[in-house]
Amino acid sequence: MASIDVRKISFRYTDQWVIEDLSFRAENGEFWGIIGPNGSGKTTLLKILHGLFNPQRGRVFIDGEELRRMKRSDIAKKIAVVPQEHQINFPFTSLEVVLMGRSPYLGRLQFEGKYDFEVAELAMKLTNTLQFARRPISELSGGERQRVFIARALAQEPEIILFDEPTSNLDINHQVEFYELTSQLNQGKNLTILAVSHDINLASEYCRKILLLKAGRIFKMGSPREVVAEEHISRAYESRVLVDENPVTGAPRITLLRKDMSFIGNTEVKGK
Amino acid sequence: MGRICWKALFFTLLLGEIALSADRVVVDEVGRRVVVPERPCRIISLSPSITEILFSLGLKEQIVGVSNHSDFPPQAVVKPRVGSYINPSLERTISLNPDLIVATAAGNPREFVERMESLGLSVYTVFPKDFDGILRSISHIAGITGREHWGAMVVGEMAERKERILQFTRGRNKPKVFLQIGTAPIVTVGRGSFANDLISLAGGQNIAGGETIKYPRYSIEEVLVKAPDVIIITSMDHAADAQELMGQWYRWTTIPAVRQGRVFVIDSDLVDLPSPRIIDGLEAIAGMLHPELEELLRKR
Amino acid sequence: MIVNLKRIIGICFLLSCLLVGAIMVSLSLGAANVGTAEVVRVLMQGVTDPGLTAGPEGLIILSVRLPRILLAGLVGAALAVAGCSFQALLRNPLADPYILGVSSGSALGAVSAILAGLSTASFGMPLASFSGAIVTVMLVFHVGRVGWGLHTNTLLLAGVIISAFFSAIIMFLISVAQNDDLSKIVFWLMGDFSFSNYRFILIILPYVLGGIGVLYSYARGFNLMVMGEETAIQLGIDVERLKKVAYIFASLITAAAVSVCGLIGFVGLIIPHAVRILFGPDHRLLIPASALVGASFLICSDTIARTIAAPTELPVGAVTATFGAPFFIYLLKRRRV
Repeated sequence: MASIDVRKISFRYTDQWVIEDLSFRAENGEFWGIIGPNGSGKTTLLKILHGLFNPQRGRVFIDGEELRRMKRSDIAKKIAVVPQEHQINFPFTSLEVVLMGRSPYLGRLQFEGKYDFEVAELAMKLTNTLQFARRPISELSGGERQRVFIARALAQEPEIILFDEPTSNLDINHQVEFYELTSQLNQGKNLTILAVSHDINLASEYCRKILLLKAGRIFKMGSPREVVAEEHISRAYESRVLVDENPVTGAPRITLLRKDMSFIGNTEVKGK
Repeated sequence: MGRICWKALFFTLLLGEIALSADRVVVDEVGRRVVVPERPCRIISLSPSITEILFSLGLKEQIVGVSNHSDFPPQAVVKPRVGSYINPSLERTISLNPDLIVATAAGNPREFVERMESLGLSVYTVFPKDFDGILRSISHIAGITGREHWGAMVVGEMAERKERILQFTRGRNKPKVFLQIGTAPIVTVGRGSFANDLISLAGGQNIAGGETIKYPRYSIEEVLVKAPDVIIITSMDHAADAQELMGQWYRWTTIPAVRQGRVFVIDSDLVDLPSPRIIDGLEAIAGMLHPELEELLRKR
Repeated sequence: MIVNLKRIIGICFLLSCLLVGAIMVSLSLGAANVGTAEVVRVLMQGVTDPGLTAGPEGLIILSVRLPRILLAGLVGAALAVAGCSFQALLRNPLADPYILGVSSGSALGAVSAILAGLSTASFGMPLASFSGAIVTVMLVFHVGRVGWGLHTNTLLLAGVIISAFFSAIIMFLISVAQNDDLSKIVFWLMGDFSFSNYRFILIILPYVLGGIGVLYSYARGFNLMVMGEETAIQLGIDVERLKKVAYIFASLITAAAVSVCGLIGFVGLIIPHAVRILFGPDHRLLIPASALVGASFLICSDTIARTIAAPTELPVGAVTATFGAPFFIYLLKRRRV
């Protein structure tokens, strides 16, 4: 586990600032959900967090060490990224894909050794993907493929895992499966996890902390109860929502409202 | 005593033969120094025209290989093939173990000749550019194959026939001639081609004679504008598609050649190949340009 | 297939045996009737008594066939490895080494040299063709750069456009060429090994072997690259450097190969593909295996080209396409590409 300390970062691709003056701190072992409307800078933030882009202003610290100064391979040993599910044109087997996660630990001309195979096997066990080991990854379903990517991330033996819209292409059963797995990894292996999500309810259910972004700035930060509230969500997304509690777990839950509805107390009133 | 004399004589002659059978160094028509044996007996020809020349010098037995399409004279058809003249086969040529290879710079790839030389084979390259050049090539080939008097006979006859035509056409009107070697697109003959030379020798004026390209493309319009008196079409097919070839011109009645019915077909082997038959081509063209001459030639 | 050193060595050994077999068979086949017995005899003689001047058989085997076979092997290996590299670089298993403009640049250089009167067996030809290729590669590289990095989509577009432009120039040059030059140009454009000699082999050997060596050292990087640039970066690979190295060296070995024999298609496209289907996409095995299979394939194609219609020689590019195309279709049908 490691901490992420983001201090007043600002980033732009061309002339418009995509992230402005953003600061937050993810402590060891926390599970953060990053939500916000499109264009709020969620994905960009993630890319900055693993060093893909360098912010023009501000600094990022991983466990006290400045990200900008770290070597690529050292970053890879600390932070793993699970990308959005996508199709691969080359017929690598799942085991081969997972073994790629060992890359930061191997020299250019070095082959994988016994330990690397053990790590990979363990990662595949944890993600329930061992049965796909010899199958080409292109033949797996979206959910299965994603679990292989998670296994690859685990094979990096990271302390932090970043997820980029992990459930946007998955069926609901897989979505829940994903968050269950991630929770387990977070608690069982004490990994610090940040997941960019478009699904507010799932984030609210599973994440311990929520970061709500809008227009490149932090709109609200805190526990799900603090962030997933009608005033914050409706203003951030500029959409009317109703916020109540999940009847089973008590976690805050949003319901989208139609434009022509208004809501007073518990009664629905139709009309303008 | 008599027996010893005979043996001595025989021995001397033998030694003499060996001494005479030394190789010589000659310079070929492209300026290369070539080592040729005194009497080559395994000769390879790299183009159909050279095959014809070799046969005309009586070298039938000495020819061991010819290029594809060597079909004249008919005896050439049974000779082993060594590939096309633009792409001869190295292996076939070498395997026939020649002591002399005759190539032409107009067609055979230079790289092939150089490669053969680098492997230690004798290659004599000819490069005839006009009628007289062909005569010279025949003489040169006769010279390196030990057929000087044969060569002199062949060349002599050709020169004599040419001279006769020149004499006849001296002072006469030079009709304008269009010689077509390709139909689609229309290709004619310009400076540097044998056919162009033949037209001049036959007392005509090639309307494309000013073109610096050997085989320039012409459009119908250019032919119409230049209005030739005679149109000659060359055909590779000895069979008669002659009517069809001539037919394509019949609607252009503004051309004098068409109006006067002076559209002819000629076998392309007679005007395109630098071989002994070029004199036949010259006579045929002369007959087409000057009908009076044709009767004279036929009488002979 | 999981790759480790033992497996790589084992498979490469088998493929090398295949290659040697192809060489021996090819030495025994040709327009002249010089069979296996003579081949063995000549080779033994060449080893034990090199001073002896060889008869026509020796000449054919050692001076005509052997340099040609060796050159074909070298070119086949170069094109196959270049194909692997470009497919990894562009993350597209359907890329071939000519896709980024190397072919039209070499062709322009070669056509210009032929029109200027250079002999196709001289040193000047490969030089002209190579120069043309290098100029094109630099041009495409320059256009494909976006800031510090190499943008693959832009690279692709630049390659296509510059190719088209050069092809137009080539078409114009062909239209004004005279007959003799014309046949030379056509043979070069179709791929031609008939003027192979030991000199050509020595000229391109360092480029091809060096290039393959450098590309092989980036094999793991290629594996990660094809998973996605961001994935590769986050796993610790310097992707920008990898892209530049891949582009430059793969273009270099392609240019070297093309400069001595013209444009031979299909090898760079189907060999990596076939090898990938047989042995998997791990570049640590893919690259050496493709080199060996590519060498054998081109040697066999060239042998077919020069024997099937002897004494006429077919252009080797026609043979690779004739065998390549149906084989490719078969691969497509049998396995999802």
